[in-house]
Amino acid sequence: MKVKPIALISTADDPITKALPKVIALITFVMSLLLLMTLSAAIFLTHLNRDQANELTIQIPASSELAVQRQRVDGLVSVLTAFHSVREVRVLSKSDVIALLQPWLGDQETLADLPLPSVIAVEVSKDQPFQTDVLLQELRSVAADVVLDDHRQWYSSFSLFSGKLLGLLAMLLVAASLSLIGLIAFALKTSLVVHSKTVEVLHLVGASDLFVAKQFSRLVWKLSAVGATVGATAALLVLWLFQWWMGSEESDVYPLLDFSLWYLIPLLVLVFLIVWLSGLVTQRVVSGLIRRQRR
Amino acid sequence: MIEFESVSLRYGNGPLILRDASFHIQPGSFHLLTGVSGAGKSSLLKLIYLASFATSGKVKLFGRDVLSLSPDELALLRRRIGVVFQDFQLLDHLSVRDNVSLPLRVTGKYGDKERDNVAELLAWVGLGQYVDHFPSQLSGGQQQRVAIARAVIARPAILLADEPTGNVDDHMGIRLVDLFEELNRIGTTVIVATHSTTLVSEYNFPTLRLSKGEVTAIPPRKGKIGRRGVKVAAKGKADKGKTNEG
Repeated sequence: MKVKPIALISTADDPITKALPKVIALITFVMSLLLLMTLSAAIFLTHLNRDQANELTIQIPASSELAVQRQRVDGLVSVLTAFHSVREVRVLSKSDVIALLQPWLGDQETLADLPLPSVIAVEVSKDQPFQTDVLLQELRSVAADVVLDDHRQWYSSFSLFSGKLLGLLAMLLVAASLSLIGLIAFALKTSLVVHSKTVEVLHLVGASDLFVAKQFSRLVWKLSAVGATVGATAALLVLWLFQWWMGSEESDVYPLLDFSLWYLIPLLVLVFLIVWLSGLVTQRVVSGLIRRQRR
Repeated sequence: MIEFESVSLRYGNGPLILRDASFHIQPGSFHLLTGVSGAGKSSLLKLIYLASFATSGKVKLFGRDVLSLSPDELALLRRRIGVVFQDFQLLDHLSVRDNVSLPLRVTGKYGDKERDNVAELLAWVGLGQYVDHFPSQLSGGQQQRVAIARAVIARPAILLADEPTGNVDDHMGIRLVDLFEELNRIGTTVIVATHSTTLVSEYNFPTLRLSKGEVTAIPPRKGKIGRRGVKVAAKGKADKGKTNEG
């Protein structure tokens, strides 16, 4: 039976590899935050796409006379239902309108006493051409002060901006990965000097370069597993604290994480990738440095 | 097995350590390598255990020119050579057992059986109760025995020992050279570098004498090869018998 392998490289006299878990924890923390933010933005965009990309909102300013306002709403609904390529028309209830305004205007009781605008949600067909100007003209013939929000225009520019933001976050993730690689390479260069005797002895008893490199990568695997786990946990904790600090009202508006598997699985994958990348970089760097020393 | 053809060695711009050295060591032979301190015995051994390479000339091991070998082939060749270093070269963060098991670990052949062999060998060199100690907890002589155990544990084809009796008493010195002789008897080629005149006079082996960078081969004296063993009282038999001539 094979005996359990032992750590042939010691961290006891090596301040560089000792510091590695802390550095990896910091980089993982930053990468985890970036990843979670990217995921939040991506999930938020997906929801927007699914829920609101083909929607319009019609607003009728509040009137002191409820009967007049109801009559104007009915007129607008008639125009909308008759309009081609409109699939669904839904007048939002008073409680829906209050829920929409609440994040900006405060508690429900105050809002219930105020004259509220009427809101009509309209879903248009994706497949048919749609002219916003023509519809607006027809709506204004019923209510001149009607406001039409075309979500598609807003979504289009938001989507463009979000796409660029996602690209930026992805670039930052790549930059953080490159920093990690650079830091590990630098740490190993120094570490190899500290452990020169061990490397020499291993070579003299017949170890191949790959065997020596694997000893270092085994060490870095352990150190990076500790660092990456700490960093990712800290990122989750910070975001959880941030969410708690922001409070539940704001979380209706901002796309904050919900600690579901959609977030936790990518985070675990990130930790795994960091550990794997650290080990791989170590093996390559140590092999390369030994080769260069031999020349 | 070990062939030197007009080998010269110089470190950087320093003086020549070896000058045009040529000799041939047959498989299964036992040689002493003698010379005063600083004569270059350790440097010559380094050329054999592939820690350095000749400035000019050709070194052949097991019939292969060492300069033609890839790093992986060098590693494989080193596994066939056991070395007892003058400064022991033990790893301080590893236990005695782990130090001795290193040559087996690098080959990936270290199991329960080998673990027992390590313990057995350590007991044989008188360190049975120190297997879990660390080198810093041992005396110089004990460290040297650990180094010897590490050198022989993988049953190397060539055993090189650089001043192996320098830090042990006469009795242990005799036991260690007896161990080398035993290994030699089962086919290991042994070269022991020493400046000890006692060792040279006690044993009758072919000798390579190193002086001013030049190597001179001296055949064994007439009579039995091996230990003449009369001056030092020791356990075990004197005149262990014939070994192969170089």
